[in-house]
Amino acid sequence: MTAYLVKRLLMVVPTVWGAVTLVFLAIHLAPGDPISLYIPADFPVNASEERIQELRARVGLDRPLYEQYLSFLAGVVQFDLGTSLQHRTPVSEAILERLPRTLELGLLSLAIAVALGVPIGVLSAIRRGSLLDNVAMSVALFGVSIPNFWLGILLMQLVGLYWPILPPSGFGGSILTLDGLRFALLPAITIGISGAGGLARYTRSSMLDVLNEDYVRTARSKGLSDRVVVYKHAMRNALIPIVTLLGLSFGSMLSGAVIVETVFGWPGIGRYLVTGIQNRDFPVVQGAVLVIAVGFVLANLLTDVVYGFIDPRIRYD
Amino acid sequence: MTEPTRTGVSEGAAAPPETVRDLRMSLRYRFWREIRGNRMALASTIYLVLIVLVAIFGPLAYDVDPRLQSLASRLQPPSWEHPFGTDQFGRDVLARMLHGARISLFVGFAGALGGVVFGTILGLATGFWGGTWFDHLAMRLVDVMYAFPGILLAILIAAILGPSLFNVIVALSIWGIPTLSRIVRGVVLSLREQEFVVASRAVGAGPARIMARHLVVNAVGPIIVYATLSVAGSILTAAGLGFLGLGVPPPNPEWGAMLSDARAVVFRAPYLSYFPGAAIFLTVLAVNFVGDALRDAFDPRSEVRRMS
Amino acid sequence: MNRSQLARTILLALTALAVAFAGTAAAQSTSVPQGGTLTIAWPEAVNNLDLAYIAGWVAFGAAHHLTDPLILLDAEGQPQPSLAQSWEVSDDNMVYTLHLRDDVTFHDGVRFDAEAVRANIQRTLDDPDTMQHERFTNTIGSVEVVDDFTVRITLKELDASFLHDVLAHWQVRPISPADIPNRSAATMTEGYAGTGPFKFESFVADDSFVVVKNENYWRGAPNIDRVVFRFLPELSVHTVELLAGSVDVSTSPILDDVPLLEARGLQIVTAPAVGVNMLTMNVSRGFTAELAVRQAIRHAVNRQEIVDSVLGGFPSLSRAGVPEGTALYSESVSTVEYDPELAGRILDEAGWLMGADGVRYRDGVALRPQFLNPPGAHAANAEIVQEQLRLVGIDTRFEVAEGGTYGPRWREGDYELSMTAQGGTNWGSFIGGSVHPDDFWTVNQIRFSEDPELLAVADELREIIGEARSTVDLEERRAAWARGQQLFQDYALTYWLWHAPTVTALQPWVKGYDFYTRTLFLHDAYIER
Repeated sequence: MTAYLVKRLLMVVPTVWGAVTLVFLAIHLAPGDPISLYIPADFPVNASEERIQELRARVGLDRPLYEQYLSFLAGVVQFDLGTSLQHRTPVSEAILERLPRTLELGLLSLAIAVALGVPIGVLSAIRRGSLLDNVAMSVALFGVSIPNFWLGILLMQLVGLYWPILPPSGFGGSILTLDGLRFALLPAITIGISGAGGLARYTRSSMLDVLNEDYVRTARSKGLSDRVVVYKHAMRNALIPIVTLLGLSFGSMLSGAVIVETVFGWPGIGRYLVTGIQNRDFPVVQGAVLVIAVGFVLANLLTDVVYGFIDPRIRYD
Repeated sequence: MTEPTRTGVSEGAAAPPETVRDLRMSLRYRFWREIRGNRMALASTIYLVLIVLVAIFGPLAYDVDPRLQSLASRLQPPSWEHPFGTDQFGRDVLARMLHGARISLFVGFAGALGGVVFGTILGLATGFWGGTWFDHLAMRLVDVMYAFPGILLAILIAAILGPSLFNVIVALSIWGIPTLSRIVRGVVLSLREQEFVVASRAVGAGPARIMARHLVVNAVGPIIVYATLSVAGSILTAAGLGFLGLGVPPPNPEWGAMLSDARAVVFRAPYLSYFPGAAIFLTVLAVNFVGDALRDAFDPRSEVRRMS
Repeated sequence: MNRSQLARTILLALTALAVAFAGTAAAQSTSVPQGGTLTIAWPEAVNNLDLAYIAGWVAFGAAHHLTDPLILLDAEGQPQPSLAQSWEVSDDNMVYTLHLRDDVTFHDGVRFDAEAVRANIQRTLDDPDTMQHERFTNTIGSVEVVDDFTVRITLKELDASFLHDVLAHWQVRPISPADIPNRSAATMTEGYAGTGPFKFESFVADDSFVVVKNENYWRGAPNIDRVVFRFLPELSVHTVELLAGSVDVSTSPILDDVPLLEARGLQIVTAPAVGVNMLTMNVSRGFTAELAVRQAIRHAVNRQEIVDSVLGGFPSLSRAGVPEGTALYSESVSTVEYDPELAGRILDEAGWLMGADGVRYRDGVALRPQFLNPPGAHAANAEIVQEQLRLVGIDTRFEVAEGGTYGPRWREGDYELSMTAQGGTNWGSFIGGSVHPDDFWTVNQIRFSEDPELLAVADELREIIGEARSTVDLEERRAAWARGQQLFQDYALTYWLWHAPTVTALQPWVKGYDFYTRTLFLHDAYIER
């Protein structure tokens, strides 16, 4: 177990290094010049060529690519992700400020996805083939089939114009406060609905597998009531594989946040990344991608470990 | 331990060895058996056939220029003259939806196809030479691509290449590679040491021939399932890219771009978002239903379920 | 009230504001309701509160409430007293002496005085990251503290627009000398003490900027307690929030939603913003290097139709790039009429003949110029231009570049046509007639042309630039500018489209607001429900 953990942890490092390198190379070889961020938007032609070269030198964009890369890696090791070209503030600080917001939104979305998806999946499995099953699975597919920004705008319209119980957009601080939670609900529901669809489908198939297992059949043949069989035996075992999906769901919550944060004006890491990409703010893009990738890889690792704990049948090799 | 993939297709489901002919028959058989028993999948298949027909013949039957603007009659609600109304530049929305069907379906299919082709090649090669340095290197690269959850990888590529129809397809193709290559690799690994492959090798068949003749054929099931689901993912992802301004550029009437443009007039002309929104939603939904049916058809575990 | 009436009202309000500023501190009316929080939907995330650094209108519009200008420019662009009560300019226009108010303190309690002004100017001279660093170091010779409330600035070289472009510029809105040593480009989003009507309270990147009332403001404390600027880049959200009543003001409502907002009782107010939208044409390369093509393009674009439809009728058509009512406007300069038939004739005569596919050809080459555009509103307008050009047989290759890529590509001339806009960074200076021709006339890549005739035009323009820069007399400068503008029209060097005002939507309960230059100014605003 420990050896497996160590091995998995060691694999995180090259994966993250590879992701960062990929982003660094791709973005530096892409067309477009970040130096334009230093020139007033109102006067794109006003800056003299010398001034542009001077600025370029000061931000280090004049150095050879490998030097920029090495100094970037050296910084990463010390969690110094450079300075945003646009905001001119340290990227690591900005990320530390925004990451909790995205994590809170992601966890709330995940909670909504689980609260909706798992019961729907279990019910569908129990009443397999019934109208309820068909309707529930269709609804679950609706969730994964709708473009999330459209869903967000529709929800915002609905709530903002016809049913004003929640603020249409914005950020109200930590979701642990009532005000913060009110602001977080709409974006979290938007992200959570698509997650719920996937979870419901997975829960259903996992549940069906378990219901077909010998021990469930045995339990049934012993005359135990359906209720006991389903909740005591089947569900507990069915939930185990669902845990693995949670890790991946968390990743899709993060990526959902990239678009939904922009729709709802949520000042998280997703929005930071999107504006970074649009402005070719290299350090911001590198830093945000690094953090999202590490978070995602670690979430997957954690999932595997938890899975191992709750299901001792799993062998690590 | 099997790991769920992005689309939830289980990997390494070792199908029994099949020849091309068997496969064709069994594919058709399984698909129709599944479709017949599943009303939603049947309806979805009909819808998809219709939408493809609409994409092909719609613009011919409804001969209105989707680019022709008429600023004097902009943002008009649906009427006899403009059955779907007009957009912010006074263009006929029906004509744009019909031409958009061509572009959106093309983007969805081409993006998925790119991912399938490159993912299959990578999966075949890594599976065939499994355990070698090449396999390790390639799989680490796939791990790296997996570190970008969901749409992030597509956003990154589209942002780097700049918005164009071709670049969106490239972004979607790359986005699809990691999942498919893992699936195919799993299948190939499980087949590699089986008798018929070993036998082919013994009679001197080269790697390319073995891959084409035996391995692809046996991985076709999971590939088709994934490819179908990947069309749905591609259309949705293309819409997301459109929202971020990284999608198919104007004046192309791509559905995602139309939906994205409709945001600005969502109050003045709400119907402008309903048409492309519903088209994307229904198409993705239909593809997902069909993909589900296919998965049930190909997943050996579903046999058990059907019998229980 | 219709729109032209409204525009007039705003002009009146501007004048009234200027008059109020010009006099002694306006007596605060005690009859208006006090207190309350005003929430403003802001169209972009502000990422700089420190106006010394790169600051566009978005940042200025929010941050200017923290500070005051040394010299204020009124609606006519005339300099008026602000933190400087009066000033003298030497006969040779090389020495400026400012007499400062003696009753002003910064938010941190530090006294505003001559040393504070010197320290602020010195900051720009010392810090190469500041926006006007180059301009300051080229122009300013020395800054001396004469006495506690008198500063003398000596120039290195004659600069006809020094008062407007430097002394009245937001660059020298003073901040507390106690803050200066701690500030750099890396602290752009941190608060500081200015002299303005509101004090810094908080800033959350990508979310909000909050200011609170300065009880000790030298013109009298504002009526409103707090102002919250919420950064909402998704503009459809502005309409939702306005209709839901959860924001009080949007500085960038969707123009198509304006009738709906008006119907729901919101106030829609325009303020003239100096700047010009244009269709730039690269005269140094491709199809647009040909005069006939450029002329045809100008006649083929129906700008009135664009203004009346997608722009809600708000902008006014441009004669030749300079807004009417500003100092450098000349009626003698010719303008361009929409005439698609003439466009067709010009192209026919130049040998560009209509092909069967609706595109014009000459010697087998299709007329397909590259049309590069920045994202957002410009791209939407460009989509209309593209279609209008297609109708006369010019089939543009349409491209939308992302934010970061557009600037360098445009600067390097990687376009033939491009839809863009330029605004004076200092509205008042435009009105006052001190806009730099080199800010304004470098939009067409003429420097890189290989055509000897165009190179001669470029030389002539350069001469005019030098002349305008060193001419103090406004009439003479206007005449020089008129010659330059006419050259632009004669050689179709760019197509000046329209001048767009800023449009603001306010809830009916927001009252007493003003506009300073083109941005909302909330010193006298109050909330009355």
